[in-house]
Amino acid sequence: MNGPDALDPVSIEIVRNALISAAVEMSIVLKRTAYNYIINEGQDFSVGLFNELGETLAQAPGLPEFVCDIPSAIHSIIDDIGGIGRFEDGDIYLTNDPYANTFHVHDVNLIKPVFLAGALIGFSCARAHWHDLGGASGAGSMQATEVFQEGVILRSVRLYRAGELNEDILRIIRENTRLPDGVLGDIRAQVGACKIGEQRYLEIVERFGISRFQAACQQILESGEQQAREALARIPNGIYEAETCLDNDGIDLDRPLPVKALVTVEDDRIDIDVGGSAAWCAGPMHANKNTTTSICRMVFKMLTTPTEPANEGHFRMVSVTIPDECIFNAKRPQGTWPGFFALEALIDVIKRALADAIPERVNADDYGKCTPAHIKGSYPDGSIFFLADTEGGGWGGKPFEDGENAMLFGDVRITPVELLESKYPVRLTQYRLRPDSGGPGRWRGGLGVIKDYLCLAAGMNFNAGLDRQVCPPQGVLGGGSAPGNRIVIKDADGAERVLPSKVTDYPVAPGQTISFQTAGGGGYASPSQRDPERVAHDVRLGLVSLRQARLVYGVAIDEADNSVRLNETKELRDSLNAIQENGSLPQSAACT
Amino acid sequence: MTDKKSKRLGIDVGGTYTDLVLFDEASKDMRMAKTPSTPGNLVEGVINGVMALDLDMSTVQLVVHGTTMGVNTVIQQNGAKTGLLTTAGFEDVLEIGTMSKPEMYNLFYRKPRPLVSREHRLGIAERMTYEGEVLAAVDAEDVRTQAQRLVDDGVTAVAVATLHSYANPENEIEIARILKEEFPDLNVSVSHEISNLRREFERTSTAVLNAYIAPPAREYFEHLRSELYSRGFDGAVFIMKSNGGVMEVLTASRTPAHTLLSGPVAGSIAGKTLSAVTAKPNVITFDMGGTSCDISVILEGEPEAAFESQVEGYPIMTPMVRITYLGAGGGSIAKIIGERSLRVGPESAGADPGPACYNLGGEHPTVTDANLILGRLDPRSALAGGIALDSDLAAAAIKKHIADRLGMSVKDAALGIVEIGCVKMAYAIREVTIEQGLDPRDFTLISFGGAGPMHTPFIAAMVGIRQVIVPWSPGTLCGWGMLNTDLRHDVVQVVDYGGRQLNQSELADLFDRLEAQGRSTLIEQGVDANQLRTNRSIDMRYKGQEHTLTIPLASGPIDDEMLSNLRLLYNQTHERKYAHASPDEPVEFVNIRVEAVGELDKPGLFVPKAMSANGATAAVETRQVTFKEGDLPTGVYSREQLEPGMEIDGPAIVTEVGATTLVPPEFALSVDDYGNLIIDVPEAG
Repeated sequence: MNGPDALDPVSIEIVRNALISAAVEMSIVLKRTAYNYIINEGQDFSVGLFNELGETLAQAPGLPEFVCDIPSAIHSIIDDIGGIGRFEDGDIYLTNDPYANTFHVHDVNLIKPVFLAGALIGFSCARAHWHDLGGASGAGSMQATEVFQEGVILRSVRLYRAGELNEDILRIIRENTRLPDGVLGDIRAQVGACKIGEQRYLEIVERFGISRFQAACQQILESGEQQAREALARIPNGIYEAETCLDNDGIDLDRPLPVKALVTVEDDRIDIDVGGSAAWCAGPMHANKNTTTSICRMVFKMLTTPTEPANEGHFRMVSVTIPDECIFNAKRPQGTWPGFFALEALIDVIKRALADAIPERVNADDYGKCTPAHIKGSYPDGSIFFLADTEGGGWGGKPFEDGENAMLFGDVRITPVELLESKYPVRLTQYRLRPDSGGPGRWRGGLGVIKDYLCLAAGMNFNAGLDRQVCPPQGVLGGGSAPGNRIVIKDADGAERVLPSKVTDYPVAPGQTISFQTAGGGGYASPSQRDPERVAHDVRLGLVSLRQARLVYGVAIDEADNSVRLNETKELRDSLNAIQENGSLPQSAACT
Repeated sequence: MTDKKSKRLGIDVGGTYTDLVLFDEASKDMRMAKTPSTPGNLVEGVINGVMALDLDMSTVQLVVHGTTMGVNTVIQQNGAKTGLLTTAGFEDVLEIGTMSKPEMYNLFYRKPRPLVSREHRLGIAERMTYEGEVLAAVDAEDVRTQAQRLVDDGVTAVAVATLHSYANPENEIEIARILKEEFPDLNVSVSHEISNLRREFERTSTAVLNAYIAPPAREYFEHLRSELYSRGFDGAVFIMKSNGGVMEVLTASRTPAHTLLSGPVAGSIAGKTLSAVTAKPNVITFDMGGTSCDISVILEGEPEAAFESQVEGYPIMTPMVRITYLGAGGGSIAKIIGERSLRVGPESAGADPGPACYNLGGEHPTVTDANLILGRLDPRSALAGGIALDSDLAAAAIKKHIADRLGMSVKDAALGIVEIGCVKMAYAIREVTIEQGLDPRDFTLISFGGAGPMHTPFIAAMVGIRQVIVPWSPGTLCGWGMLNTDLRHDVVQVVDYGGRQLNQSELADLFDRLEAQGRSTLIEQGVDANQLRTNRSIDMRYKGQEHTLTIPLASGPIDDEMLSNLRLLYNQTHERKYAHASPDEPVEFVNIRVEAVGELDKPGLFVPKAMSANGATAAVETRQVTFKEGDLPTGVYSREQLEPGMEIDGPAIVTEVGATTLVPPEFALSVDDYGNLIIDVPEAG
C-alpha cells in the first residue's frame, strides 16, 4: 500500500494487538462484573469491536460457537431503525431476536455505536446469556412449541438514548424475569464492557488518526483473509457431503431429524449448503440463519486458522446456503432454545464431509457437545433449587492419536461433586469414564462419562437433552461409531430403564438414581489397523473390554497376562477385513 | 550471634542460571554469583556457585533455597511411579478433571495426561457426606488388597484423596494409617494435609502432585543438605514456598507441593521489601528473562494472593502469591505471517539455540537481536554465562527474515520488533491489573530479570505508569528476595458444611485451634515462640454466590464490632474487584484461614558505599543508540559508579553484570539512597 494513508507493518501490528487487547479487556470487565455464573464461569458471552460497516475487527468470544456472530445483531438494528444515520452518540441498543441474531432469547446483545466528532466510526458490543427472561418453564424446556414459552423478545430496543438511560426499559425487564437482580446486574456489566471497548477504540483512533486507523483495519482484515485463503488452498476442489440426525424434535419422539451438509470447494470459495437437513418441526429444535452461519464459520476456522484471534477477514471466502423451510432457518414463532443440538450436529457433519479431502486436519465426530440437564426440586424450607449440569464426553479420534476423554466444548468447567452434594439433595454414586464408549478406530475415539445422581428428596424432577442416540457419533476414514448419549433411571431395587433423549419435568423419587451417560467420540480409520499393543493397553486400563477387543479390533488377548496372542489376532483381523470389504462395519450404526 | 556465623545465603536455582546472594550481617556486605544451572544434578550448580563465591560454609548461619526441581520433575514427567487410593466409583475424577478445553478452535487439543495411570487409580469402599458424617467406614481389607496391587506393580508413592475429607478427614487418616503400618516403604501423601479445601479434583490433583515429586524431592534435599554439611555448614536450610514464605527442609521433603510455584515468588517478595523501603505501597513487579515474564501485583504493601493455579496444566490448590506468566522475553522470535504481517512471539528461541546473535545455530531474529542492532546491548560485553554477541548474525537474520520482506531498513525493522514486543507486555500488565479491579496508572513498576530494565521504560509509558524502579543487581534479585522471607505455614478449614453458619464463640474456638496448629508446625521447624505471629482471614461470599473473597480479620477478640468491620471490608473489596456490592445481602463464611509466620532477620537493602571522591557522573563512553527519534549519542554508565542523589537525563544506558538499563530520550534517571535506579516516565505524548 502506498499513498498518504499507508501504514507501515509495525503500526498495523500495533493496531491489531491494540484491538485484540481491547476485546480481551471487554471480556475481563464483563466477566468480573457480571452477576451470574453462566457468564463468569460458563463463558456464555461474546464481546468485540466492529467497524462502521459492522465487520468484526477483534472479538473475544467466551465459547467458540460465538465466533464473529455479532454483526448480524448490528445489521438487524440498522434495518429496524432505518439506517445508520439514526444512531446517536451515547446510544446503546438491546437485541435478542432468536430469528435474527442469537441462539435463543436468553442471549442478549448490547450494541453501542462509537462516534468520533459526530461521525459513526464503529461499534462496541457485548453479548451475554441472561439467567432468566420469563417463559413457561424458564431455560431448558425441550418441548416448547412457541418462542413465547421460552422468554421475552427485546428487539432493537434503545436502552440508552444519547447517553441517557431509559428507565422504562429496565422496568419492563425487571417485571419479566424471575431473577431481576441478577439480570439487571448483568446489564450493567455489559454496559461497562461496551464502554471500555468504546474508550479503547477511541484511544487507538486518536493515536493513529481515523484514516490511518481505517487503512490499518483494512490491512488487518486483508491479512486475515489471506491467511484463511492459504489454508483453503490446501483443500482440494470438490463437492463433499455427510449427514447425521437428531433423535427427534422433543414432541414427536419417533421421527429423527436429518442434519446434512454439502460442502463445495471451488478454488478460493467454500460453500456450505445445509439443504437436505430436516424441515421445520413442531418442537423447538430450530436455529436461525445467522447463528447457523456462525457455526459454519467456526468449523472453517477450526480447519484453517485455529490459532488466530478471529476477524471478518478469516471468513470472506465462506458462504452458507440455507433453504427456507429448514430447521436452520427459524421463523417466528418457532421455539429455538435447544436449537444448538442441530448446530452441534452440523459441526460433526461438516468435518466428516471434508475428512477424505483433508484427513490430516479433521478428527472424527465428537460426543454431541451440549448435554444440558437441570434437576429441580425444593429444599425442606420450601425454597426452590435448580441444579444445572452439562457433561462433557468423548471427542473424535485424531489423525495421529486417540480422541480426548471426558471433555467439554470450551473453557468451561463442570461443577465438582463435593459442591453438588453440599448444595443439592443428591448424592453421586459414581462418576467415571464409560468403558467401551470410544468409537473404535486406528485412533480410538475418546470415552464419555457415567455420572449417577442418587435423589435424596421427595418431589424432584428434571429436564435433560442428551441427543445423538439414534445417530451416534460416527467415525471417519473407516473408523467406527461410538455408543450414543443415554439417560438411564435406576430404581432402588436395581431395575433400569433408558429414557428418551429429551425429557421435560420427568419425576424422580428418593432412592431413584438418574444416570447421565455421555457418548464417546468416533474412531479415526479402521480399528483393524490399530496397533494390537494399544488395544491390549486399553484392555489393561479398562477402557476397552476383552469382548470388544476381539469382535471390533480383531485382537485376541490372553486374560492371564494381558499379552496379545499374535496368531489368533492375525486370523481375527483377516476375517474382519473380509467382512469390511463386503461393506459392513462391525460397529457403526447406520443413520436412518 | 558471633561474627563467625554472620552470613546468610540465598540460592535460586532456575532453569538456566543458579544465582547465589550472600549477605554478611557483620559487614553489611552483599555479594552475588551467577553460574549455569546443571540440569542433570542441580546440586552441582549450587556447589559451583559456593566455590565461585569462595565461601567458607562454616561461616554461614542460614541457607534459603528456591528450586525449580519440582516443576522440572513434572515437566519432564520423571517423578515417582504413583498410585491413587480414592473413594470407590470416583477413580476417574483425576482424569475427568474440569473437562475444560481452553484452546477453543483447536480440534486436536490435548488434555494434560493424569500423572497416575488408570490401572493405579484404585477405589476404596468408604464414603463421607458433605457434612462430615461417616456414611461408610474404611474397609481395611480393601485398603490392604488395593495397596498390595500397587506395590506389586512397582508403585512407590501413593496419594490418598477421598470425597469430603475437608469436612472430616478420619477416613483418609485411617487409610494412611494402614498404609504406614503395613506398607512402610510407600511414600504417602494425604489430600487434606496438603490442600484442605472443597473440590475433589483440585484437591486430589494437589495430593497426586505431592506424591509424584516427593521421592525425588526427598533425595534432592538430602543431597543438598549433605553437600552443604560436608563443607562445614551446620545451620538451618529453608526452602522457598509458593505462598512467599519458607519452610524447614525436612518439612519440604514431606510436602514438596508447596514449593511448586515458588520459582518466581522470590521476585515478588523482593518487590514487597522494595515497596516498603521506597514507601511505594502499590507496585507491579516485572521479571523478564530470556523466554518469559512473571508479573505480580503488590497492593498496599502485600503481594496479591491466589489459592489455586496450575503446574503444566495440573491444578494445584495451595495458598500462593498470584503470579501471571507471559511467554515473552528476549528470545521471542519475530516473523512474517502472510505477506506483510510482522509478528513477535509467542515462539521463543529459548537459551539454546537462542537468538541469532548467540551464534549457537539460532536462525530466527529475536527481540535480543533487535536490541543489539539498535546499540542498546553492547556486543563487546558478554552475557552472563560467557556468551559473546555477534551483531553481524543479528543483522543478517533481521535483514533476511524481516527487513527485506517488508522493504524496510534493518534498524527500522529492529525498532518495530522491540516496539511490538513491548506492546504485548504492556497489554499483559494492563489485563493483570484490571482483572483485579485496579488501574495500572496507580502503580510503580519494579523491573528486574536479565531483560526487564531494557524494556520497562517503554512498557511503563504505554500503560501510563509514571515511575520505574530498577533495583540493585536486577539479574539476581530473586536470590535477594529469598533473604527477605519469613517462615510461614498456612492452615485452612472449610466451615460452611452442615448447612449452618458458626456463631461467634465457635468461630473464635476454631480460629484458636488453627492458630495453635500453625504455631506448633513452626515451632517444630525451630521457630522461637516469641518470634511467632498469626494472621487470620475468612473466605466470604454473598449467600448464593459461588466465589469467595479472602478478607483479613483484625487482631483481638472476635466480637460484633470486629465482624461488622469485616463485613464492611468485604463489601469494599467486592466493589473494587467486581464493580458492585450488595451491602444488604446476607454474607456467608466459607473457609477460615490462619497464616502462622515465624519472623526471620532481614538483610534490608544494600546501601552502596560512596565510591568516588570527585562526585562526577562521568559516562564510561558515549555511543550511538537508535531510538524512534533517530540515532542519538547516548552516555553509557557503569552501575557501580552511580551514587545516591545522581541525576541523568535520557538517553542513557546503565550497564552491570546480568542486566542493561535503558533510559530513553525524555526519560530521567535518578539514584535513590539505596542505589536503586528511579526512572521517571514522561507523560504520553
